[in-house]
Amino acid sequence: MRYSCAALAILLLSTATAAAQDEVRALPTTPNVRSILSLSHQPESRRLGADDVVARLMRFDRNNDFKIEIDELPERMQTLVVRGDRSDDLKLDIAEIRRMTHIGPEVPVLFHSPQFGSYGFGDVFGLSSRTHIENSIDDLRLAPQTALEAKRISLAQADEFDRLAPGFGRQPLTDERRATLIARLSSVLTEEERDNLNAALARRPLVKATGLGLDVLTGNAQTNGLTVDPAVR
Amino acid sequence: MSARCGRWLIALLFVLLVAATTTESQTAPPRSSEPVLRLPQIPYRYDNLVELPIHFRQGDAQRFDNTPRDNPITDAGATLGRVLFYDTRLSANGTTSCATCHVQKNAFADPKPGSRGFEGGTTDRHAMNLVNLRYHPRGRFFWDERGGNLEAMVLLPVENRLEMGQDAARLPEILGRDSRYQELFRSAFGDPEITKERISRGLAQFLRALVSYRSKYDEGRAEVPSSKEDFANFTPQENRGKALFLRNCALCHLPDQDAHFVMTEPVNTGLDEDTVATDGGVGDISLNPREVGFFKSPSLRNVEVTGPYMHDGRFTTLEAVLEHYSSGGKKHPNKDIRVQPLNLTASEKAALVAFLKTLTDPHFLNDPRFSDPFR
Repeated sequence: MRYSCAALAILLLSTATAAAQDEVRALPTTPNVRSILSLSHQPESRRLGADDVVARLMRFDRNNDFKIEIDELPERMQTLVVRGDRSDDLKLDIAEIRRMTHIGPEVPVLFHSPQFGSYGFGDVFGLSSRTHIENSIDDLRLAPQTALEAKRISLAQADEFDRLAPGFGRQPLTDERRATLIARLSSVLTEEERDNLNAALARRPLVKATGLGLDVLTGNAQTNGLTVDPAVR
Repeated sequence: MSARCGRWLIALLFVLLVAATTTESQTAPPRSSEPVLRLPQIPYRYDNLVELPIHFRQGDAQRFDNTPRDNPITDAGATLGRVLFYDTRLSANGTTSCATCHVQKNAFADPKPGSRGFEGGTTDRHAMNLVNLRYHPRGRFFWDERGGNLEAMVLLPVENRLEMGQDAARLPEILGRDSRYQELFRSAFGDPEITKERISRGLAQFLRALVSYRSKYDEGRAEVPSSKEDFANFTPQENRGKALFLRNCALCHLPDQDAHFVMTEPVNTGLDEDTVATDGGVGDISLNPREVGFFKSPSLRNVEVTGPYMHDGRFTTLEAVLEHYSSGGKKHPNKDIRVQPLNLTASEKAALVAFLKTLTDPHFLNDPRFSDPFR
């Protein structure tokens, strides 16, 4: 009943705005409809809802009658009219569109602390940076001796970071620490190699908290099949 | 000199003519109005499971196969599908076939951003590649996944008023006028009856037979126990690109196995910031606001030749695609959390492009089994 009233109101309003130009869409005065039709360029944090779906479809309303006729939709979307047209006029009004919308599960978001099943960045969730460092160096495809030396220096520096922050366990690679580490490698790596290593180390691994720990999904902290000399581990 | 040369030329032409007619012969003499159809006397083999490399046959990879039990690939069925795929009679005015937009040398993608329809109109989405459709585990197709399975989706472009404009219900009558089709249907289904359903099934068999598995990547992968190891046939740059891909891209594009470079579900990768005025993909079909901006991803196999890229062909080069992912994409409420800024360096981008090019399969792009039988 509520939807029928809304549809009737919109129909009346659409009659009043029939003279609107094509380019300048005249909006009815109903605040709800206005807000629906003016949605766009929203911030990333806002979740989309049924109003957004209605607004998306109403942009196809070329004749400004606040109903979507089958020929106003791209062919790939025309089955929507078959699905949702309850008034048998081969058109979709706002109420019919809204009735067809359904809100699925939330899109996963990043968490700031590990909870079971949550996603986040490894450094935030307390992932050790050791594997991250080793794999980043491996990926540079350096000469074996160079790689060994780079790992020795890097891991020693990582130990130093831990020593300087006693009682807090393995320290994440902050921007400042990464800059220090990269600078320590200037005698071993070329400038380009250091740039590539810096980029790789800056790439934050995406992890998922499981009941047993962290599942590393992306980034250089993943365990891989590359051989790492035990002496530098 | 010129007379001798001319005799040699005639002899050479004769030899070439004989060679051509022994490899592919006409199935039946065409009527004057029918296009010449050249099919091999011994049908090509399409069910190539036997020769697929081991990484295609391992458990996790096999689970990607969407072949239905009631429509397995047969040599005769896929042959029928091949003929249908290249037949312009499937369009309303006889100008357009499936292959008009799905070009073999482009891994059955369209090299243009939008495709030209039978009356000259242009589609607003890119005709995606048809590589390894058999191994899309959800078995849903089109950029917005509105096609429920291959059997259901193959006639949608045929009937689309912009693309081919044909009334599929008329196809049995139209094709039935060509006696060669009766023979093709008899071989595929046991009797010459032509039905809309059989047309769908034949086309679906051919599409599932389009399997690419002989790239440089496949050759290298066959020599090592895991894709994480360096491949002996790769350059250092390609191996570096592979490592970068496995660390940063494989979670979505090579999930839980080493053979199928496909995504198991559509996602929003932050292509557009506007939530209203842009193509909504899956969300425009499901009307689920959480799926606005979700798009299916085609296989990355042969990605070197399948551009332009994305649903609207907005990126003309692989470098442009990598730039998008390097930046992390635009803000969108539905953007997948896996799409994070990678800030790739120039040499990392070059390595990734080098690796992606190892997915090119020249056998697939030139395989006569998949070529136009009307030429």
